[in-house]
Amino acid sequence: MKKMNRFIITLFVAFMCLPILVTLVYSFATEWGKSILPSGYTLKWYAQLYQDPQFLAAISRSLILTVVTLAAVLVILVPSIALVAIYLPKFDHLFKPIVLLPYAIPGVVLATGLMRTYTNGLVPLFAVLSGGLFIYSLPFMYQSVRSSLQEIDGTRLMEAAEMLGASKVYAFIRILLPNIKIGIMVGSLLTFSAFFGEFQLTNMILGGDFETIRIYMLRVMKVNGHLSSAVVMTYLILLVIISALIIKLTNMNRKRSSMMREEAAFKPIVKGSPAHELLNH
Amino acid sequence: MSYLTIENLNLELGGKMILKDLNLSIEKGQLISLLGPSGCGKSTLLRGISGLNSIKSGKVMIDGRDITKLAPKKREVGMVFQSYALFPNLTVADNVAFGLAMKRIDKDTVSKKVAQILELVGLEDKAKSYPGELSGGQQQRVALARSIVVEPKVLLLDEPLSALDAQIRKQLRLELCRLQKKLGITMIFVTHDQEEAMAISDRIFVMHNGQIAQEGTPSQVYFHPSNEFVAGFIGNYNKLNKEQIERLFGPLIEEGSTYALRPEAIEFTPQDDAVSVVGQIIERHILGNVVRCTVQTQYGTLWVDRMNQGQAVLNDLKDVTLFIRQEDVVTLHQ
Repeated sequence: MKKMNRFIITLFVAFMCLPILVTLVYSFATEWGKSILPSGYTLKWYAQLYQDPQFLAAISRSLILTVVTLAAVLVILVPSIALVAIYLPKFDHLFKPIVLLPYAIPGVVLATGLMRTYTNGLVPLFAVLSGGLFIYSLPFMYQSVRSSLQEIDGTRLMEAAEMLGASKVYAFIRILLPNIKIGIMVGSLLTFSAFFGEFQLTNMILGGDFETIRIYMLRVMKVNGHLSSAVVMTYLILLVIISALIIKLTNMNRKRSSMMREEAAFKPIVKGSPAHELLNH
Repeated sequence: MSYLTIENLNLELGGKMILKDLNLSIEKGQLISLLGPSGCGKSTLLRGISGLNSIKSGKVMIDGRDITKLAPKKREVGMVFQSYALFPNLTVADNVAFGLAMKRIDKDTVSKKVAQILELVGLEDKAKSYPGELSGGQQQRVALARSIVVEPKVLLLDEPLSALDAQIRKQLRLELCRLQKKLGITMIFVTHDQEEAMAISDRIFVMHNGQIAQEGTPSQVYFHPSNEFVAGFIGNYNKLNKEQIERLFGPLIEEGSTYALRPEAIEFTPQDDAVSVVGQIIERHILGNVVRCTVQTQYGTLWVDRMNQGQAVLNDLKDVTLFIRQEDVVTLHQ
């Protein structure tokens, strides 16, 4: 039974990894069409790609779009989720279905709606796109921040901080934020991947005027398969590096165990000790 | 004049009236308990005093100052939560120092006060630990230290020991009591455990349906429950109706419809001024230091408590004569 399980898992992993492996090999192949293995290997596709100013510009655009939108999500959405969860819990049942709506609305509907409403020239299209992506991040961010808040009993922490004299803003920054860091990181990671690889909204709202890495990839794919494989691999590595960075930052959070169970008894207060001074104050 | 006064307090939560015209007054330096079953409004009352729940009408005064409409942080009231609510990202020392830092006290004084209070609760060697590294009892001490160090006028404790196991709970409640006496803090302790309330309180306020059902010293509440609810909640009283009592003592008793009799007040040996009742022991339960016998009599079933001294007589006894004094019968009001 164990062997059978192992076989199924191996098969599944191979099935999942094979396309990546083939893409990787293809990106290094001089030609790979009429034989089982490529006829030769080369780095020329990567060299060509990294020398293409349009590729570097596409990467920069994707990064700018992602970072700007993610920053807006963190600044606006995270406090809003905390606010509803802690101070307006009775609205939480309304908030929940609303944030899940982007799962239900197809990208094409959202893009059309945004274009109809905002293409009058008053709002820059980049801001419209960023706003559209913001909406798409709602489910990721809401779920991860909300469960973090529940885990640490955020309401009680805020109340405790307020009882000790902290303002709501200070308590949020000093106490709540550091304790929901993991939720925010996970939400950011999911949002980052989704934004970085977003195609539908970007293509419909800005199209060729704002070529992101995904639009660039699609264009190159029509021209040269090897080159597009090099783009895919670069894109994948970039995502892995950024994800690893975020995970690394999350793990830097001190791991604390609750294994210690011994009880320190109240010790007798010794004359001259700080506590003795307090009692005789 | 009382130190803390609550006048005609009404508090509503989710459209439901939780506290109804509640009045209460506490003297300075007392440890009082709000005792009652779950849902009676004791924690809500605490949150009303702290300002965490806003009240509908009424008045809360501390030391002559009306704090009814003040924000929680301006009330000079401390609170220890059932779940401790320690800040997981701060060390024990930083948790304790948090309230002092909010008062903008200089760093040297903060360090000195933190060291003093941590020594007082026996955690001076845990100053640099994080809450997650401490046991439940230790976390509760930190929560206590954090609330005491800012010297609140009144310290509110919302079932602070209920998450701990029985042995540590008993140890901590005595230590809490000693600490309260040493520092002379006015404390309001919420509990649903009548034994806990009896053990530590100067006064007990028994709550029922958002109102104070009875208040008094632990002895007053235990020996003279004023109504059926208190008698049922505070001890395992035998409840007797008017007819049963009149058959026992004749029509001389104080006017009432229900009467209570403590199980330990019933004797197996003849007593002065006691009436005798013949019965049969149908059940025995050993509750540690006490043996509780269920005795079937012509007046109904009665519980009788005796000290558990391993008496063979009590173990073998079946047919018994009970001796009941009229002075031990308490008249209950509705």
